Amino acid sequence: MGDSKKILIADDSRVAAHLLTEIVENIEGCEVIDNAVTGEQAIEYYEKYKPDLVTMDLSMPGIGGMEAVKRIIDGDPSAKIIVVSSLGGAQDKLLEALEAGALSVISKPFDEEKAVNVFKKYLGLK
Amino acid sequence: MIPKFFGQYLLEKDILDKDQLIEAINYQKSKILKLGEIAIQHAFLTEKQVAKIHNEQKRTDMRFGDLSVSMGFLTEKQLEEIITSQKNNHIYLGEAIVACGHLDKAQLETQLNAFKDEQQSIPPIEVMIKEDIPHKELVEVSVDLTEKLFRRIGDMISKSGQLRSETESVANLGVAAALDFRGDINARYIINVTWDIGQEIAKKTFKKEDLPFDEELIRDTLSEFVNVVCGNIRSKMIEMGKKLDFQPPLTFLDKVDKNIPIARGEQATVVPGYTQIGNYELAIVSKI
Repeated sequence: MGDSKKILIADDSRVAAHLLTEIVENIEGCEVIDNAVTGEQAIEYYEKYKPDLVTMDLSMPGIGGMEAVKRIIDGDPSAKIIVVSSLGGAQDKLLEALEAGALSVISKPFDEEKAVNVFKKYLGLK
Repeated sequence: MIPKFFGQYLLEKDILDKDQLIEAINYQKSKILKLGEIAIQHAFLTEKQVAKIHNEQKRTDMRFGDLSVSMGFLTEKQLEEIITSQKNNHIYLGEAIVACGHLDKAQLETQLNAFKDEQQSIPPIEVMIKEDIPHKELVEVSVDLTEKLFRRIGDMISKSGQLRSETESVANLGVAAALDFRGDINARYIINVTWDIGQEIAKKTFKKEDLPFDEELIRDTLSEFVNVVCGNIRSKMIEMGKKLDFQPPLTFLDKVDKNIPIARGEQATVVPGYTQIGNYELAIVSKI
């Protein structure tokens, strides 16, 4: 697993984190390294693991996912963050996350095929 | 299929990248005339009056339109006229994408048709409530989309019963989760289910028929259910012209055996639901 791509899942829902883990671990060459459950923890784990990609739920306790996106990008402009949204097409929130530096978005409930495509694209996998 | 806006669809399909989408949305925004500008064009306001409203806006959290009426510069009818003019003169995101050169007209049409096909799989709201209740539209949309999610996630056929109002508490059937809407409507959505229903949703979510019974996991699953259904409710309400935002879901972790209290001065519209697995109740709580 030494060359595996490391994915950090930032989601306070154990259910969503479980479903995302299943999707990620079905992609060859990917592993989930940890699950952060607050915005603060997402930042802490980002520093600790330097993951290849982060999935960030926007609705999380503490400072929330949006603020965590901004702070992670501030510290590392090359960070790859995919926003996970159950906000039901909230254009304003998604635009804010993209402008803050998130690369793309996947919607809840998850469409596995779309999610896999997004992960592969930003991880440079075929 | 979850409702989404056209830009999100293009991004998820990898038709546009995020920088192209941001550019198009910002172009679209730049073409929207501000209410003050439209009011000046209509000769309803002078530049001096617009400046006064802007100054006042800095001190309050009121919107431009509401302030212009409360300061006596516009009548309600004039405000309505300029808001309509603003709505009629906006450009669509698709037009902005073409103007920015990210798609040509033929490509836009192809993508719009594919997007519409995908979104058409979202069935219209079928619930109609006869009674005069607070936030009737929100209750109708909530009942409808909750029933649909039960069907989709839990394979449960659900049927709603006779609604009632409560002012003290909502009986707890086993496990409950809630989420607060803020914006044009301030209200709390509560879903309250028997443990059997909770377990069934967890089994379907985790795709494990032999999933061991785990109270905490059921609470988490219900909380996620609320997250998804309220995202759908929010989209539908926005489509119906209401601005809504929401907070992360709450679960009543330490109140499992108790009724769910309703704060003084608030009222709950409770709609019972019946499925082949057991009963649930949906409540919308708001100030009286």
